[in-house]
Amino acid sequence: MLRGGVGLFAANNHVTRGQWQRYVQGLQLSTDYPGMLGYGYATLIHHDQKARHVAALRAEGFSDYEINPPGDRPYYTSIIYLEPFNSRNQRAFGFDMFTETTRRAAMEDARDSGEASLSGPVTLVQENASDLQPGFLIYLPVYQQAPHSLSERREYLLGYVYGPFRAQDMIQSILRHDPKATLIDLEIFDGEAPSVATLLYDNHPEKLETVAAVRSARFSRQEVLSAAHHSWTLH
Amino acid sequence: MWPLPPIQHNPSTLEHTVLARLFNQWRKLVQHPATAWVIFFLIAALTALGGASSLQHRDTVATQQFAVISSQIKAAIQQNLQEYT
Repeated sequence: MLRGGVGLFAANNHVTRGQWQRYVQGLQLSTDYPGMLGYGYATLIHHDQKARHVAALRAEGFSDYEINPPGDRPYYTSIIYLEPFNSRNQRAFGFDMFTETTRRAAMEDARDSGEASLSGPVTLVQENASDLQPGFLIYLPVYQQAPHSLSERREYLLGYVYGPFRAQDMIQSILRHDPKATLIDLEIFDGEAPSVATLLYDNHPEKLETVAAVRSARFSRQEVLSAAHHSWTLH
Repeated sequence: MWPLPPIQHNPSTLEHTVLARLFNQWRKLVQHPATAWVIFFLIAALTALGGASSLQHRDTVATQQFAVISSQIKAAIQQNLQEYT
């Protein structure tokens, strides 16, 4: 699905905000992809392009636009498109995801592999104080031309098409079609070492006392799934 | 009291029932206490074995069902993650 956004960039020299908006509207995120908060594009900006980039965005009508967090860095990966552009997603507008370690690890992996990369658990910029839940992101790199080596992948990088996900919402939406999933106590952890700190999803949160308690359940099974260069453990 | 006393012949009680006949047969069979104990332990052991076997079977079936559900959930999540990319 995210590859469609990469294709849009491949088919056009420049994708405008309006084109991105219409493209994402056609995907019907809220109905067909629940749990996915938005469909975004973060552009790579070298330090010497920063002033021009900020000026261009301000000329589009975003007079307060800044790259966040502020400060001078060799390059930036600012979120410039994120649809639907609602108040929640507007909080992420201009955010340089490379400044946050977990996001950066997935972005570097996507850039260097040329493939989708799923991040570790993060608190999304879109989260608010109520109903806080773990999030994760999936990144796909956009290159200005097809790279053939690691050095070319780094050199030709234009930005990232990405999706921010709320873990509980997303997994719940998948399992709601499967009544059997309610019969068992399911926890999903990021990585292969389950702990309360890496918990992404719990279908019976009131039952999670300790990881040891989960492990001592009469019938228990642990499955590791891999997707987009990342592992989750189902317990 | 040993041996067990027979049920008195009284048409209004259990005399003509199958249960009474069985009980009287049992009473005759276990005139000797050692025989009674052997039979008792045999029945107890067989019951325990049967129960354990039944529990084991139930656990095996539950474990298999649990494994199937777990695998289906894993497959569903993995497929969705792939669709998102």
